[in-house]
Amino acid sequence: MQERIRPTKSGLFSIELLLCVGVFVFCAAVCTGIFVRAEMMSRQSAELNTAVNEARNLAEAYQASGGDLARVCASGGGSVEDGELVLTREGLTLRLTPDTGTLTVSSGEWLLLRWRVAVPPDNWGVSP
Amino acid sequence: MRRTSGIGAAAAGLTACIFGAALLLSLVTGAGVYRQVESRVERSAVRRVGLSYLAAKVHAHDVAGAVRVGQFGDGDALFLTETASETDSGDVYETVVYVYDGFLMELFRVRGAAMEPETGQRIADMRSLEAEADGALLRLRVTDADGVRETADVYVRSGT
Repeated sequence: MQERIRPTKSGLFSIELLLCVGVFVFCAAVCTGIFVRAEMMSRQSAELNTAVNEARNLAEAYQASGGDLARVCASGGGSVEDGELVLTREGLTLRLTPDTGTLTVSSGEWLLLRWRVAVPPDNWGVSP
Repeated sequence: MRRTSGIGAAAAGLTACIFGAALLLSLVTGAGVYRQVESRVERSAVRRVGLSYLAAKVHAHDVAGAVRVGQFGDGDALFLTETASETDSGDVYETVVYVYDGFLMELFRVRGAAMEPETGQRIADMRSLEAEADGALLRLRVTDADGVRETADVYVRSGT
């Protein structure tokens, strides 16, 4: 016959301690995850703000030049490659493709935004 | 039995200490992250408000000859002119946007009226404003309260 093992007081106490530590570790992990996510979201938000600002600047310069990429480069920097304007600012890469009227802003390999940009008809009477 | 209780008490004490230290660390980390996020959001908002305000003001006054760059107070300023409608006296008014005493300011006056820079209305924290017209493109360079420089290019459809 096997002898029945009775739980001792110290054994119960250890289990209780382990449970407390487990709950705390779980809560700490959740909190850390939330902090990291908040930090990442804040960074992404700041980066997106910068991207919007730079894209708006490039779009305005492009429209003001009447669609002349060389003129945009002369005033704001960047280079024209295969009929596409490529500009690097604040760690972001801006690409303006006049054929498709597309303006994209990317950070590394991540595409942050894509806009449609067009030169106003007759440049609204303003000679570029 | 006594020995077991001693070990148990020590383990409980140790666990309590680890728990307290980790809780404190967690709180400090949380507070640090919150402070960083809050300061980044505020900086971003201040910059966005200043630049968007300037661009919106220029676009709102974008009629022939209404937008010009000049000097007011100690620095560059934007002069945005508007004429009262036909039913009114036909007086010409202007809105002057400039930086004074660490603030982006706006002043509305009858064109040419002598008014001091401090009489304007505060819009946002800003250290300096440089405005330059390049054909139809108006380039506005602002320095915010933290010393960070930002540029806003504004296409003036009516020409500058």
